[in-house]
Amino acid sequence: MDSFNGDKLAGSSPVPNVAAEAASFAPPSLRDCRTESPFIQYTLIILAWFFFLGILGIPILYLFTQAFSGGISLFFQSIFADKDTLNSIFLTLTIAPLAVLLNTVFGLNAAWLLTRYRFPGRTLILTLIDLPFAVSPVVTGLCLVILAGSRTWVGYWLDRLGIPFLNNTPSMVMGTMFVTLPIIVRELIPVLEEIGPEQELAATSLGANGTQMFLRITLPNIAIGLLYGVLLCNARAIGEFASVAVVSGRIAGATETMPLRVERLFQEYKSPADFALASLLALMAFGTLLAKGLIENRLNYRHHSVKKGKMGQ
Amino acid sequence: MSISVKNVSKRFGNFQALDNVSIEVTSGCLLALLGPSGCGKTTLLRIIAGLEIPDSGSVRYQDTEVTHSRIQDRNVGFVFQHYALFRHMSVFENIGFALRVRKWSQSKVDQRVSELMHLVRLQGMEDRMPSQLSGGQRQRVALARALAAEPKVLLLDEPFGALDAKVRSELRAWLRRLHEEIHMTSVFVTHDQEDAFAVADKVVVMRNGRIEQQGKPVEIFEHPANPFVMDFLGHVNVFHGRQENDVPLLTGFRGPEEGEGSGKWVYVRPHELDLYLHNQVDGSLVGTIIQVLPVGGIIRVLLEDPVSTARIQVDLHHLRAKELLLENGKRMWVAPKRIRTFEPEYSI
Repeated sequence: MDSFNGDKLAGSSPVPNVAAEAASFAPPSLRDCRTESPFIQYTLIILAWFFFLGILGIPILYLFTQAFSGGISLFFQSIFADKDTLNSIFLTLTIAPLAVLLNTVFGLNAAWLLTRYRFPGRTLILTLIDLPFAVSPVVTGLCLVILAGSRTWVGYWLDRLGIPFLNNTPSMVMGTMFVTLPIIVRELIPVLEEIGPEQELAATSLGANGTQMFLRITLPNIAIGLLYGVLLCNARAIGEFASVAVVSGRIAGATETMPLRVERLFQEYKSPADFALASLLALMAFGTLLAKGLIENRLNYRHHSVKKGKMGQ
Repeated sequence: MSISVKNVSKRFGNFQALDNVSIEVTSGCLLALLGPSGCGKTTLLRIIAGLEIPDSGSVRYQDTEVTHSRIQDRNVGFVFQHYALFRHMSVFENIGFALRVRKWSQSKVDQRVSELMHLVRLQGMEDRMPSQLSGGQRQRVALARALAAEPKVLLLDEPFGALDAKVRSELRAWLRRLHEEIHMTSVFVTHDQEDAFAVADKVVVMRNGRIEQQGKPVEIFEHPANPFVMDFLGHVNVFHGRQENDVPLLTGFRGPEEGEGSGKWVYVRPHELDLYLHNQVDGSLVGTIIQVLPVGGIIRVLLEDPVSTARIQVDLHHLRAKELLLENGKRMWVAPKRIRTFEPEYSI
């Protein structure tokens, strides 16, 4: 395809002016179509940079300078010498993966069901699945507290069976799950819609059972979308504050996650320990974003190569 | 393996997709389900495959009742309309899929896939991805994949639908030859009468969830059961007229406002009409030439009745056309070589 275009280019113009030729054959870029005056263009660009730096860049930069103000050794010391801080890191690294794992299982099931079947109440579920994005996480936490409180039958049975819930890891996982519930489903639904049910039907007609169909056909087709959703869900789960704050009881060294610990250190004027832990939290988010970016790149590359293949026929 | 569909009905909400349909496909037969879109042909194919379950009626393969058994248990080869190739798998993996899920050994898979690659003439393309294939090649991969596990029945949904005219006619001829080689009971769905007539042993014409006519292609073309079938199988001119002592007579044009079922019409195919310079044949009508189109080996002439503005189409051999010195605006006499009449359809 590329060489074909190249031939056409070379053959169509007898004048060997490569630059002019390239310009005349290049598809119209945004620059060519733009009609705004340069004044408006530069105002908009400056505004974009102002907001990006003013709201995101400078505060985060300041956070890191504060975290490292006492030197690198103090930074590590403030994180690793404090038992409660270490415990909070451990707790976050327990709760976030658990919530992500459970949401992955739920997300795969829900997205597949919602795209492949039409059933009564489907539209309602599609609408309500976004509820956690709309409801404040504090409300979520309170709901869980009321639901599992000692006056309800849920609380009664949890108590009778001796299952620890409130002020313990299960309620914190559940709060985190609730808040991050829509992320993976929302990532998977468009991907599943796009690939359609035909390949799955074809696999079934060729004798594949449900597990074989899922593992060999559905999963490879949605893998990148799923990974993307998992990373996004993970980033959000690590940082969850409000719902966890309500249900955990905030017991230092026991039910304090990283965000809760950062807030406590800050309230107790323990600087730069608060900034150090906060910057660690930020670094985790950057890592996730970096991974997401890499996957996005690969995704674009894949789309591009598929298109090229199609055009090549 | 024969297929027998008995009194099958299927409804989607308020839409009656199939209304008491029965067909018999004898063993080794290649049958075409033909009809306009929405006539229920695809639903019938999906019911035969096991992708849909009928509301009533039964489907049997030979002597086995399969109405409610699932598609993965029926061992049918199904070729989907847009092929539904597995995008993330090579041609080899696509074709070998049915064998892999059946846990065949690697050497047996290799052997069977190479046999099939040979059968569909795709040797050397094992490692290509579906996106690197042309439409015709994808279709053949889909067919090889469907044949891999030696199904008892081959079902194809609009197998030529997505192809351009040239590839389409090549594949038709190829599919016909393939069928003669493997002689598998096959059913395919199409809305194109040429597909049906070029490939099938038997054609079933459907409309509005019912069967209008079934039989051999020649029978159906020569003796259409009703005006719908006649019209669907190719262009047809409608006149007032009658048959008198074996002589076909035309008595008038059908005006644009005159409806379909009112009165008794005679139906004449474009190639069954002839043109004359003078009123030399009994029962001929006069019209004005408005267009002369050379179409392949024939000359297609469109005439208009100046009174009723009814239009008719006449296909002439190009030698005959030369003789008549056809040109726009010329008045010609139209006479039939043969006419067909149908009993009027009574409807409530």
